[in-house]
Amino acid sequence: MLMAKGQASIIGIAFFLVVFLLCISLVILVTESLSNLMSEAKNVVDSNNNNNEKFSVYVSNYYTLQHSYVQSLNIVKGFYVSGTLTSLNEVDLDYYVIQSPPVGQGGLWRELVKNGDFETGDLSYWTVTTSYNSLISSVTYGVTTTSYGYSAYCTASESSVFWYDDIIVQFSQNFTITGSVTQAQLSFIFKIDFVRSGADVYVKIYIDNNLVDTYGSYTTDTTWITITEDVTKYLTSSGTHTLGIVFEFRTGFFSTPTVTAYLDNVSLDAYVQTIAGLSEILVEFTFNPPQPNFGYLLNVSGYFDLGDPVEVQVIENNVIKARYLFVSSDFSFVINVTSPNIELRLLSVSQFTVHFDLVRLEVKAPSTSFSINIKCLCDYLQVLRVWYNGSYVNVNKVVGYGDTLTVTIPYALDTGKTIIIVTIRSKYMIPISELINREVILSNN
Amino acid sequence: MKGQTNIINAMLLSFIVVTMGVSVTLLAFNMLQNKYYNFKESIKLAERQLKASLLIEYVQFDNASRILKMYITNNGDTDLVIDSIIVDGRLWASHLDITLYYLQSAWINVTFPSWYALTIGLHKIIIVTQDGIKFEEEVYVNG
Repeated sequence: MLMAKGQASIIGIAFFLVVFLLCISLVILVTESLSNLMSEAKNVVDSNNNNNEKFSVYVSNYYTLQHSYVQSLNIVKGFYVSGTLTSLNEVDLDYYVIQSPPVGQGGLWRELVKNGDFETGDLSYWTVTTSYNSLISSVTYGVTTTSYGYSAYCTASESSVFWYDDIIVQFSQNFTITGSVTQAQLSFIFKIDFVRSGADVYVKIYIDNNLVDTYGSYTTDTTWITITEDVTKYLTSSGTHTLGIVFEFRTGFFSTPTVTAYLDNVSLDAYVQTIAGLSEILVEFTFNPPQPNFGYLLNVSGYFDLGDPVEVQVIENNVIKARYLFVSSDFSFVINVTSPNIELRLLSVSQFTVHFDLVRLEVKAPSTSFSINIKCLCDYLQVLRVWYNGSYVNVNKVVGYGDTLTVTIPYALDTGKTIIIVTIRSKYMIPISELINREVILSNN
Repeated sequence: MKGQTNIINAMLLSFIVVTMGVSVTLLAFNMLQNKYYNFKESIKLAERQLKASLLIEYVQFDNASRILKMYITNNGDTDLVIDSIIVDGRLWASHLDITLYYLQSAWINVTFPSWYALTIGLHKIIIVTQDGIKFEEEVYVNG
């Protein structure tokens, strides 16, 4: 019996050892598997670290230059001599010729009245003076909205049936002229509303207290009335002048009128002769370039009949974009501009003549395709595809450090779209507008 | 007679011990084997997740046709079988069974029903493989 128990214990221990060994082998297998997993993870991490992508990208060949010739020309200052618009198309022995005024002469149209349309919403630059019998009359004035936007107004009321009054409201503005005026035209519009009738209304124009003209009398409602007056003879001298527009309300006995007068669009346009030490030509050129485009190059050439150096200023949107000084007769220049309306101002200390041979815009019109240039800045770069406009161009090429890959996209470039570069490791999305005239560096770090 | 009884007792005890030992061993072996296979499968899945990589190159939702178009490329070290597409947490396509080998690409189109509005804004897309690996991308729907 004792022997049997000993045998059973030995057998039990043997089985326990078997189970124990199984557990040990499981632990070993689990450890090995974890080790393999860690090794795999390390490989993946190493692989990622060793293949950090970095590259630069820019677009090219996205435009073709197309000629755009002058559509219209306006000589603001200077004297036309000869030539037609086609003379500006680089026709041999055919020039558009403009002569500058003699030194000390010249002139420009200038608007002398400020806030003539009252669109500031107030009476800025204007002075209002009134005259009336305050015992029986009252006057209010200011700016209100009408069908012309903001308009000035004045309302005159008289409340006595036994008395009459002569109510005067004057809108006046001072302006200064440097140089003499050879032409000047005043214009404005007015309207009269009778809330209660019983008054005669007159509209009078004064310049420097000189009565220019009188309109009226008006005894019933009017529509907007337009007034134009040649006021040249009142503005021949330099200095400060005063424009006065007077509304006069003459009331009668046995009436208590209330009348409102409206005033708007006051303009005093004068051609002012300037006394200058420079002889000047100012020419406006208008082009009609194809749209859309990526900008323009202004191309100008010709020659001068000159005694002194001539400065040429390129003016775009009232801003001087560039200045060129020419000391010899032949001249030419090319400049980037953004507007199809260009002014050229030519200045010299003596009278000169300019012969334009060519004035042309070279328009950067979109090509039917464009190129994406990808320069590798890492060990290597495998580019799979380039996406644009919902479709892709297959590339599937590998480039090494410093090498450039050029991908042609068979669409016209649209700056509102995005480009997607797909490499073997990642994809890079970038607005196309950021790649124009610029090299952008991309990386997956 | 007493000697015979002892022998029978010893044999019976041995039989019981062996039977129980074998049973316990087999049970333990079976349990350990199951645990090991489960663990091994988990490790394999983890390895595949590490190796797997999917580039969702292009995503576009066309409002007119109500089709969500995706262009995907397998750029991982393991083959992928695309099974399902989930948009904003909702399953819209399943059993796709698209196998992608290394650097192989495919278009996937998911057509939405007319009653379902994919509103303006960002939407989350999840691509699920047959072995449960998920890849996420966002698409902007601009109306």
